[in-house]
Amino acid sequence: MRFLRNIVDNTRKLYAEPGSKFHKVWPAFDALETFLFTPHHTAPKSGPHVRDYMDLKRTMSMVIIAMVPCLLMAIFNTGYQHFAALAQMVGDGATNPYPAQIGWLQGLVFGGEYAPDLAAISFADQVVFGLQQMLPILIVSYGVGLTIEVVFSIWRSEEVSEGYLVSGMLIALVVPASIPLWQLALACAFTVVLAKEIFGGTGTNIFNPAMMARAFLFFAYAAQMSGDRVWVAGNGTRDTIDGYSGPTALSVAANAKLSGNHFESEGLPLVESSVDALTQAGFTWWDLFTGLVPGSAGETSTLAALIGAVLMIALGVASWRTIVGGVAGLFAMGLVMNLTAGSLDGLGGLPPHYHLVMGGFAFGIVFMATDPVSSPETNAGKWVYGLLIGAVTVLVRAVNPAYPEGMMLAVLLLNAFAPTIDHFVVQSNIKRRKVRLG
Amino acid sequence: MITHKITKGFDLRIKGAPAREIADAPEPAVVAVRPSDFPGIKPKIRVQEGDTVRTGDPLFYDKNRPECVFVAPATGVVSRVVLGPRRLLLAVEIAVDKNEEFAESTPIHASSSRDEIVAALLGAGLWPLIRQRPVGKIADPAVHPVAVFINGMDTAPLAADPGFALEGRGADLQAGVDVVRRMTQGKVYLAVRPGSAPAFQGLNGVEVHAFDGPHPAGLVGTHIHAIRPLKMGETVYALRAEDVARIGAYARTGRYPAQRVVAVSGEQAMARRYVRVRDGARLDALLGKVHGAEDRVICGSVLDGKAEPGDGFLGYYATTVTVIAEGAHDRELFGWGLPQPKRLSMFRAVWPFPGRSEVSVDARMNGGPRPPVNIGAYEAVTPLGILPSFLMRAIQANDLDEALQLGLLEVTEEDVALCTVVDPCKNDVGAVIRKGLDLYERES
Repeated sequence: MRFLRNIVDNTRKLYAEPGSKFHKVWPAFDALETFLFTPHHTAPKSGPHVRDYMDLKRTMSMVIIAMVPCLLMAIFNTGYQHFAALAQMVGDGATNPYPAQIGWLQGLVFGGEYAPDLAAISFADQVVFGLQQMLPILIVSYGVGLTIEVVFSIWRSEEVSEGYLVSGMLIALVVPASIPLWQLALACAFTVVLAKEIFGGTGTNIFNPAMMARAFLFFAYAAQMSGDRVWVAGNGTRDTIDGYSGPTALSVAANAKLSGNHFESEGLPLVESSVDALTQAGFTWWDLFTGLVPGSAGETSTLAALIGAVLMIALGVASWRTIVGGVAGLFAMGLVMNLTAGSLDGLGGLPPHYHLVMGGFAFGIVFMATDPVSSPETNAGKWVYGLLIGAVTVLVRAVNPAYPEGMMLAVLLLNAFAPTIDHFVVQSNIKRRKVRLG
Repeated sequence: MITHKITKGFDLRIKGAPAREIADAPEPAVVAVRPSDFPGIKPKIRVQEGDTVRTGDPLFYDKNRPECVFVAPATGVVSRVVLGPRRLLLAVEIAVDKNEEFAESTPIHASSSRDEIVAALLGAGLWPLIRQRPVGKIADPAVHPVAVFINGMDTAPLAADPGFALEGRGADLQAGVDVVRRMTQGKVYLAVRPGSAPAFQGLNGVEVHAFDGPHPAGLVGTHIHAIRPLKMGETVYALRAEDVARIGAYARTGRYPAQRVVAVSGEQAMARRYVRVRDGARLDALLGKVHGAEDRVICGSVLDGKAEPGDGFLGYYATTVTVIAEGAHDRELFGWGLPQPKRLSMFRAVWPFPGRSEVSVDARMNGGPRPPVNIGAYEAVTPLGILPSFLMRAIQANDLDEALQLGLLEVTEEDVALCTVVDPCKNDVGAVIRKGLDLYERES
C-alpha cells in the first residue's frame, strides 16, 4: 500500500498543478487516483469542518453491488436458454451446430473440438456461454460510455462523475444477450452524449440514461430488440440461433387473442385464458419469478431484482417508496384491466401478479425508476411517480397493440413528468407554510 | 413545560467530549477583537496603536449603526491594529495589563425603559450578543421583536452544555432575563433539554420549552419553527443562555463581563474540559499549547465554527473550542468501497450495522465535489418542513420570491449545516443559504 501510495504521489506531480505536463487531462488521472485512494482535500475554514464518509463513488458502487444478483442470473440464464433451445431444436430434427460453430470463450476454455452433450449440459457449459456473451457487452458498454464521459470531464475541467458506472451496468442488463456489439456501442454513445452530457452530465439529465439507450435500440434497431428470435443467444449469424423462435412470456400472453369464448394463441391449441396460454407455452408463474425464461439478459429474474431491491433499501441508496408505489400501481391497474378485459388482448386479462414477474418491470422499478436524478426528489412525489409507472406499464402492455413491453415507455414517460410531480409537491409545501404562518 | 420531540436529524457521535469540570485558564498575554466575527458590519476604528484601553472601552464601531460599539475585553495597551486590503480592519490586539480597570457604565434599573436598556447595552458592547431571526445577524435595535428566544441547550457535536456552564449563575441568569424581557411586548421563550439543568429551574418571566431528539433539536431555528413560527415581516431576538447571564452580570455589577466559560473538546485537544477564560484570549491560553497545521483548531463546534491558526484568538461567539486532526495527508486505499465501521456517517452504505461507537474525525471532505444527486440526505436531517434542495435551487436561480415561499427566512447556515455534512456530493448548502439571505437583505 505504501508502494502504491508513492506511485500515486509521484504521478500527481505530473498533472495536479496548473502548468504541469499533463494538467490538461487531469480529470482522467484524478479519476484513477481517487479510485485508488480517497481524496485528501479538507473542508474550508468556515462552515462545517467534518464530512460524512459517504460520497458519490460509494453511492454508485452500492447500486452496482445490488445489481450483482441480476448480472449473475444474466450470465447463467443466457447459457441456460442457449442450451435449452438447442436441445429442443436438435430434438425436433435440426442439426447440432457444435462443434462447427463455437464461440471465442468456449474455444478458449474447452478447446476447438468442443461438443457439449445437449442431453446433459453442465453448469460450466452454461456459465462459459453466458460469460462469452455478457463480457463483451459489459466491456463495450463501459468502454464506450466511460471514454466519452472522461472526454467530457476533460473538456469541462471537472472531476469525472460516477453516474455512468451504474448506467453502464444497467445498459448491459437491459439488452438481449444477442445484441450486435456495434449497435450497443452506438446506443451507449447516443445516451451519454444526447441523453446526459448535453443536459449537463450526471445530476442534470432528464431521462434515465440506460432507459434511453434501450429506447434508442428499440426504435433504431427494432429487428434486434423485439420479436421472437432475439431473446436466445447463439453462436450463429448475428449471435442468435439460426431459425430458433423463442418468444417472451409477454408476447405469448399478448398474442392470446379473444376468439369467441376462448383465447386462441397462435400456433397453440385453444386456451381458456392468457394464463393458460402461458402455461401451454411452458411459462409458469414460478418460472417467470426465478427468471429461467427468454428475455433481455438481466431482466428476466424477478427474484434477482428482489434481492437487489432488498440490498439497496438496506444500504439506503434507493427509495422504497418508488418501488412499493410501483408494485401497488401495477396491481391496481392490473385489476382494472381484468375488469375490462373482455374487449382487450390477452395481457389485459392477466392476473396482476403475472405482470409483476413478466418483462422488465421488476428490474426497471428497482434499478431504473429509483434513479435519484430522473425521478422526483420529494417523498410524496416518489409515491406518485412509482404508482404511475406501475399503472402505465400495465396500460401500455394491455392496450397498446404494437409491442407488449410497457416498462421502458412508462419509465421514460414518468421521467418527463417527474419535475411536474415535484412541482405540485413543492406547491403544497408552500401552501402549508402559508397556512401555518397565517 | 412543553416538550417537543424532534425526529429528523443526526447526532454526530465524535470522540473527544469535554470532562464536566471547570478550570481557570491563565490570563492571556494578548487578546484580540475581530470584525470578521460579526457578519454584516462595516467596522470603523476608534483607537490607535499605543492607546491605553480599559475593559469595556470601545475599539471600533459599525458604520451602518454607529451607536453599536465593539469593546475591549481586557485592560492594556493597543499593541496592533491589523488592516487588510483596502484598509479593511481585520483585528485589534491588546497587550493585557495585570491591573484591570473597567469603563464607566450606564446602569440598568428595574424601571429603565426599553430605549434606555438598548442604549446601555449598545454602549457597553453587549448588544452584539443579541442576534435576530430572520437572517441571523446582530439584532436591529429599532425593530421591536415579537418574541425573545433564549437557547439553553446545544446539540452540536462536542459542544458546551449551557446547563453545566451556567451552574451557580442563577442570579445572573434571572437578572439577564429581566433585562431582555423588556425588549419585547411578546413572550420570552427558553429552550432546554428535557429534565432541564438546575441553572434553569425557577426562572421567572420565561416560558420553558424542552426539545428532545438529535441535532438540530438545539438550534434556535428549530425552536422558533416549533414554538412560534414567524410571519413575513416579523422579527425575534435570539440569545444564548450564557449571553443572557452575561447581560445579567453587567446589569448587576455595572462592569463589562469579560470572562466566560468555554468547553475545550475534540480528540486532539490536550485537556478536554470547561475553562473560564477572558474574551478574545489567544487560543494557547485555553489549549495549553500552540497547535500546528496538522491540527484544526475550531472556534465553535465542528458544524458551525471557524478554523483558527494555532496562535489565533477565541472568537466572540464561541462557547466551544474543538480541536480535530486536519488529516490532509491521510488517504485510504479503496476507502470508497470498503465497509467503514470507524468513520463518521449517517448512511448504512458506509457501515450497515447499528450500535456504532464514537468515531475519530478529521477535516477531510471524503469525496470530490459532484453535481447534486439527491438521495434523500438533506430531508433526513432537516426537521423544519422545508425542502432544502428546492430552496437551494431557487436561490441559485436568483428567484427570491420562490426562495421566500420555500422558507428561506426560517433558516440560516447553521440550520442546514447537517445537510452539508451528509451530502454525498459535498455541496456547501450553508453558503447557498447565506447567498439567498444576502439577496433578501439587498432587495428588501
